[in-house]
Amino acid sequence: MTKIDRGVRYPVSCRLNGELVHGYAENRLLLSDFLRHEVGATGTHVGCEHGICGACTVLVNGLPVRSCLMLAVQVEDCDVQTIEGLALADGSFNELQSAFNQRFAAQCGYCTPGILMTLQHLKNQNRDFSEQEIRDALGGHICRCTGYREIIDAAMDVMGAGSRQTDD
Amino acid sequence: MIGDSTPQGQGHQTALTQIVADELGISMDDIAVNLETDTQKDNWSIAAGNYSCRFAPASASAAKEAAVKVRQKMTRIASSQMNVPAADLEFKDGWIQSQSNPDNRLEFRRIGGLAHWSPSSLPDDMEPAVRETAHWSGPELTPTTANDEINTSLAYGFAFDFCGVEIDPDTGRVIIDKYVTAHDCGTIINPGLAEGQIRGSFASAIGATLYEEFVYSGDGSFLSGTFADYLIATPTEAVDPVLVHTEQTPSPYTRLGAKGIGEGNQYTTPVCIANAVADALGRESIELPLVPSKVFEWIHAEEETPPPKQTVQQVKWDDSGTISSGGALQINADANSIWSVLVDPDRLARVFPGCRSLLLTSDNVYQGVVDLGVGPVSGTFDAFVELSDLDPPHTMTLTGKVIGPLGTSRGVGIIKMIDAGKSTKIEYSYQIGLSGTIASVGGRLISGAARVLINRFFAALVVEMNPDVSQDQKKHSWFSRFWSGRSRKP
Amino acid sequence: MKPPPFDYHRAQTQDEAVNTLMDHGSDVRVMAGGQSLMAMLNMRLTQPKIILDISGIHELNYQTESSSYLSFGAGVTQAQALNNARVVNEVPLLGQALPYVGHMQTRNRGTICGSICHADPSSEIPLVLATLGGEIVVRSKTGQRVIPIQDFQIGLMTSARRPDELVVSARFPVARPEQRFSFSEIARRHGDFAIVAIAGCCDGKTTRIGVGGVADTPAVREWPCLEPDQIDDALNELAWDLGGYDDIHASARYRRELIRKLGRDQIERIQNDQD
Repeated sequence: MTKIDRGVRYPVSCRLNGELVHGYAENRLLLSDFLRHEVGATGTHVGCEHGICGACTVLVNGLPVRSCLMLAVQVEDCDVQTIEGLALADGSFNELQSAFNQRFAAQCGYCTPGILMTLQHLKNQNRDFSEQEIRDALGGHICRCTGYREIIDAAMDVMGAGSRQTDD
Repeated sequence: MIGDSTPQGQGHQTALTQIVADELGISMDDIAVNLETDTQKDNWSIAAGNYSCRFAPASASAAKEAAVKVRQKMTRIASSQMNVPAADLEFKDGWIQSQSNPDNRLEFRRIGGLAHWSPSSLPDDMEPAVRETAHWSGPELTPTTANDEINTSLAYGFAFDFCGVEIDPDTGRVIIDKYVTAHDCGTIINPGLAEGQIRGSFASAIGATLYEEFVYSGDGSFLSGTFADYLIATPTEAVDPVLVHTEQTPSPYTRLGAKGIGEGNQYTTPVCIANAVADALGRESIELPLVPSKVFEWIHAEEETPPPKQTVQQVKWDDSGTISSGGALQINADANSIWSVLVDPDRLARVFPGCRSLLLTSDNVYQGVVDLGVGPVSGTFDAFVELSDLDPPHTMTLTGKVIGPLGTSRGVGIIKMIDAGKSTKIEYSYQIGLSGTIASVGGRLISGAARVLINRFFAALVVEMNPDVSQDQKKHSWFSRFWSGRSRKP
Repeated sequence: MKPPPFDYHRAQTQDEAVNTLMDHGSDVRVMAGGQSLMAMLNMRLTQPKIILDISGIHELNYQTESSSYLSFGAGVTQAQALNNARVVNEVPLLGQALPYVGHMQTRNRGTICGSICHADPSSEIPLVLATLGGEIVVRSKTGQRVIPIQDFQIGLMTSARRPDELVVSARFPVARPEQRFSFSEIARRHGDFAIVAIAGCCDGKTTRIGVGGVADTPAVREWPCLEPDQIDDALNELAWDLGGYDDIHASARYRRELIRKLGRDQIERIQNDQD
């Protein structure tokens, strides 16, 4: 049984985008705040803090979750992937990010990291998706700038039927 | 290039890069645009910021002017360096070259560098460095008249929308079958950016038309305080408009002929859809948003299927955000005994849900501290209760207020006691209003929570009247009576 | 919008969890997926002394089947249930309802049992369990008890779990070959809380309809299979019995109308469906 008293800064470590990171967190520190303020990975954005807008979406052990609805102390020994981990080794955009760039799918960029993490999860499943499947997966994300058309087009470029290249 | 247009994703850097690249004949990769404005040290203007469709007409015009000034200065320098008339020079692919003899050319960056590093090579009357600033304002934007009239817009974009909607008569849901929108915004600087503005504006307008509403109760309490109640369209609700690309009519007043485009559908779309719904329903007046429950009642004026028999008191929510309801129950005690509980502070304290303390502060006025909670939501509140319109042992009115960190509730209840032989029938009706956090985030659950607390009050009253009855009996038999109780409507 | 201070206990085993509950009772709020609790904590609508995190109890992450029910341990997420082909086949009503529960991202953490304990009147999972007549298993230091769902969900966001008890599993009756099921919901947007949700099942002799989003708990009614001219009256009586309530999304009348309309579609579908 792990007990963490209130007010105590507790050591937390996890594998963030493949690298071991360490930080300190009170038990009530949200995962979103831990990533942003303790680790300095500010690519994960905070929108509503009640689990609806999707801006804070990250992958924990491969699955998209709301980092505003998790406590930092809950990711001890977990794999966490954030937007910072999507770029290729040389720092260039990955396929999804490139498609977003090509398609004007990001305007202010506030919702973009959360949406890209959900789409990356779909891409990791290595199959084709229909437009409706992509819409349903993105139903948990709010964007105020784009109207979603370009976002879906970018996702379809990468994961729609007939779109996928051989692995890279 | 630096400027004061402070974008939040509209793509100003891209558009400004294009303008400079076109004017100076250089690659977009060789241009940096920095729009981090600090009015303490940077130039600013009435268009500083990003609003009222000012970027394409105004900021882009200033950018063009500044780029032209840079070109003019570099032309003079190149003309003197290359010994060629200014009129013969063109800026192309990173070179400044003679049109009549293209081999006679210098790199753009060489001329630029020369102006900074070798000012003595410049023409005599010329200042060193190449850095030009342009402020732009349309001369047509004249000051306010004596009658306080002003034309605040230099350029007017045009939009034309039409749409077809279907309304499901069983649910009141409005479905956009097809929406077509055409825009003339003058010169389009970047088609991808322009389309992004149209689609974003349209999505926002769909929200205003079908989903989004700031709801307030009559006392000003905000009721739609989370994204569970303030509804923004997600990809599953989004509608894709058909964009018609018309010929563009350049504005005669802006430097590039460009007008704004970001606002358009915010004006047209709610009206277009509302008109379609008015057409479908034959209705003169349409109120947005088109909440299905509201549209349903426009279609079906009366509820056609009446109740088969007397039914449970409905909970009504009136325009002021007050919940009203009521009920009835029977207690095995005479009316006088029950009355004496209600007017005795110590006994009332035992009956009032979660009451920690209750003191009589003046005639029939009580003050106390209560712990109130339903399920996981709970808090400690200051409570104020006043009894009035006392007609012992028949009727009384209770007026109360509870105040706490989660919000405030004000309520009025009327209790009527009717002799029924050895027992008493109690009929009650109440009105409760809520404000504060609990009202703005807990909307859906308020009426249920109110009912739970009222029922706890009466359950405790029963226990107070029948202390000999065993705990289990109290819990099951008396409680189940409340839940299935019938009453008349007020 | 940050949680207030609390003490945090993370249990590795059921015993550890039950000990915490025995020692601290109503000072504890149990957190499984946290999708409801964390939102409330962030808004400080609830300020518990102790949060007991049971999401790490591996022994509670099971989906097992007997001849009569499919049992979900308290650690099973909604996504895990939805991805389990046995759920779709053996408890079709749950398979039909789960896509309406929140969004993919919240289903990756939110649990089947947690949703039932939270007992929100607009939630789909408690409605399904009530309509099917399932059970909840709770454990305390003194032992285990099985509670039929109608005795477990006793009020608005209130369950019969005692402060020293841990819900360890939910049992969903497995479909019999003669049963037909149907689920439908009206909400403002996909994934939103239901304005009205209706779950139905029919085995050729009896028709059961469960209504969510209207009363404080799922309202379940059972009739012998209804003749076409009996359906409207039965649903009208149910609609007025529940009454409905006004809120910013829908009026009481609208809820009653949906019960009549959706209910009719459901009953026709499950009574007439020949496979």
